[in-house]
Amino acid sequence: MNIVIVEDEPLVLQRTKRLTLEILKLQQPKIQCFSDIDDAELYLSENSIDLLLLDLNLKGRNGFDLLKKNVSEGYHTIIISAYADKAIDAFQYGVLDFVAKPFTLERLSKSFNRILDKSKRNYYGCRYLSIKKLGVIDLIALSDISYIQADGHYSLLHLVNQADVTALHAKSIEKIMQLLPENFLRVHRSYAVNMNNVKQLLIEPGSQYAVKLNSGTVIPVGRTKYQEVKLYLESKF
Amino acid sequence: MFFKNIKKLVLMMSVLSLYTLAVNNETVQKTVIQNKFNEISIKEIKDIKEDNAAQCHLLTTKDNHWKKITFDKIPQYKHFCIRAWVNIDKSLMTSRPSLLVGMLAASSLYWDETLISENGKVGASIETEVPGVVKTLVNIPEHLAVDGKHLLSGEISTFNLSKNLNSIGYVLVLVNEQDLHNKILILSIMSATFIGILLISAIIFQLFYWLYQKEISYQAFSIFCLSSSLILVTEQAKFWLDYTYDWHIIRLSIIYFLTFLASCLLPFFFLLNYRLPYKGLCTIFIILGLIGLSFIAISYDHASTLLFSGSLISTLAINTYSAYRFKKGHVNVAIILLSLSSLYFIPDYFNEFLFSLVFILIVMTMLVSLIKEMHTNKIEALKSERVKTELLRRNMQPHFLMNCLTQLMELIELKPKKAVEFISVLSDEFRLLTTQSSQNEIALSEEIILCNKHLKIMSVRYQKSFQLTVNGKIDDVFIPPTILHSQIENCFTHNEISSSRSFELTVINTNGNINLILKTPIEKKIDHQGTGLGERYINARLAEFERINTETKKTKKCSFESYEESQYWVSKFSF
Repeated sequence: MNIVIVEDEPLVLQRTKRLTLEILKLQQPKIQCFSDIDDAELYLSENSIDLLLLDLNLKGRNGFDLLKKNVSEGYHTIIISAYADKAIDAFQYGVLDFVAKPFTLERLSKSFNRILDKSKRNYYGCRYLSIKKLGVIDLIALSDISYIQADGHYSLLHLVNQADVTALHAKSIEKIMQLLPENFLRVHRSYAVNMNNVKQLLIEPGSQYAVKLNSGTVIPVGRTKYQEVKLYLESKF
Repeated sequence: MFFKNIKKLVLMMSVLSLYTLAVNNETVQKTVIQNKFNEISIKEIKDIKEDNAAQCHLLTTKDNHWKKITFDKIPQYKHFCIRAWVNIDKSLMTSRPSLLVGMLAASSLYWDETLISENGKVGASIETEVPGVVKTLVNIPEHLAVDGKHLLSGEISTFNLSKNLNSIGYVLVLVNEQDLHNKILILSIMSATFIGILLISAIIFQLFYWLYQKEISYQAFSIFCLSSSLILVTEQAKFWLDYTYDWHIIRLSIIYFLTFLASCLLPFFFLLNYRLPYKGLCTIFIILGLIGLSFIAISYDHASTLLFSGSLISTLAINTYSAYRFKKGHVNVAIILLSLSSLYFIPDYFNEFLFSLVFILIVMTMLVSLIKEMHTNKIEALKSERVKTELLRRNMQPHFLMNCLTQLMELIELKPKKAVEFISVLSDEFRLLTTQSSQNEIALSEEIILCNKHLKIMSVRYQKSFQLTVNGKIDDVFIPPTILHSQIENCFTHNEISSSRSFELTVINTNGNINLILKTPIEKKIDHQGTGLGERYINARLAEFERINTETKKTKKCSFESYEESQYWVSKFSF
């Protein structure tokens, strides 16, 4: 597990690193520390990591730009900040967690559990997915996403009402799913669907299942996922 | 907006009042006065035995060879007879004709050989004369006031004067008694009102002085109001006080003294109020000028005119300068120009009465500007109070506290001793900050202690050794609290300081003028948050410092500027 910590106060950096190592003893993480995000940039561009622990002053405009940029990357971002009142905003943009300073070992391990236990879904209010398109950060509202298609290590976001427009997100579909609310269901190994956008459940000959979206697109449903999809749709209608 | 309208209103009112008063003055003379004795014949009585005084009053006496003069030219220190002929036309009268006599003399007056008035006792010398009252209104008996030609004659003596006057005969006219009473009543009501307004203004400015701010200019203005109201009281004494004419010069002297006082105080007040340079010199110059003017005056009235003009002109100069330099005093310039013109056209009327109206207008504008000043002061005070609490809150704000607490957690878990040290520095800073923030000025040495506490905290947090080096003498220097601290704090919020570059404070003290130059390092500038709270706080602090210092008469101008210079943020304060 590759982790990068960005923190400008040496003692807090020491603390974050110490606690991380303690919590993730078994995973034997590789930790890189930087005192500010600009220094970390080069490392991040050349190395693929799993988690960024970022101390961010979210008071200025700059702080949120940095936030949007990092959540558009392939790794998860956990914000560790004293500006606890900005937590809701941070979650909207899709950070995995927001740890308010001062923090304890228990609080930090709760955060790490979200990464380790992929089956558990916790929704903290993500409303946008941040994507990088030609170097420009763009925000896509979750309600505009029709379905998500796995594309190697990346994900392809298909948009509502714009059948031919897709957006590429640097996170894997597994990682994205950890951020999304309940109405997004992983219906297939390669697909996650915004259930608000589903018209009907199709049962095709030979026990082939699929969902038909409002746009008419048909998405295959995995055999093991069928019950879950059916239950969701029944509870909804 | 509101004040602008008031200014216009005051201006319009002043033009209107001056106009009506000027017109009124004309009509007083037209309707009340029926017959002015333009010319009288006069004969001096040198020896009572030789010149039989009774002869004066006989209709048959030939007075062709008597000297002809106007009434205002009657002689002083003399015993004499006067004769004058007058026509009565009752169709022109609204009421019974009466004789209004105003002069500094003892007299017995006869109407067609009948004694109608005995005022004092006419005598041939200062010992034998009993002074008469200055103003008398003599009834002419019904049967004598018939249409046709009549003879007014009188025996007069004028020995009880302590000083040579320009003129001692003020008025000798036939008037409509009813009309005269009405006019006097109106005039009395007006002057009583004006006296009241000026007195109340005097009290108001005393209250300002004792209860609001001990500014010497308020005291000056209060005395100015009081003396103007006293001038009016003394001027109008001729209507309500029947005093004998030997007191007249005392009354004139009192008026002269009060006029001189008011004339000095008016420009003096504005000098103080506008905080102009060379106050002392200007005051001496004005006083000398006014003394000079009273020396060249040929009469008491003339002296009043000259003193008022001198005072108004210097006040005009002061207000014009202030209007030009500080953009205040425009209304006063207008009022003074108006009053100067009225002083030029109707000097006597101005000296007696109109001056009070002008002064009242000036008082009103002063009150308006004072209320304005109090209003802005209130807002300033509120503002600085708000900024103060805001700043205090910023120090206690979660992120500062939370960051420190995070450090503490780490220290407690690993180095409890260091944690205790850190807590004590932290509590020191908070304590100093709360106690110093509530003061208006503190010793520079105390401020430096506070700054060092903050640097110590930051040194622990960033594991650096931040130092504040001080150049120059810091003894006996007093500054508004927490201004340096605020700038050092700003340096950390707007920068990511990663090296141990030092903070520098230079103190330059030249003859009590203090210049503080604080240099804080600039490294990686974090996006400027744009609230400018720090600068707003410093400016509010300096404004308060300045205000409090002017109250205690140590007039100080404070200034603050800050700019970037070769990798340093430079903050300059001067007091």
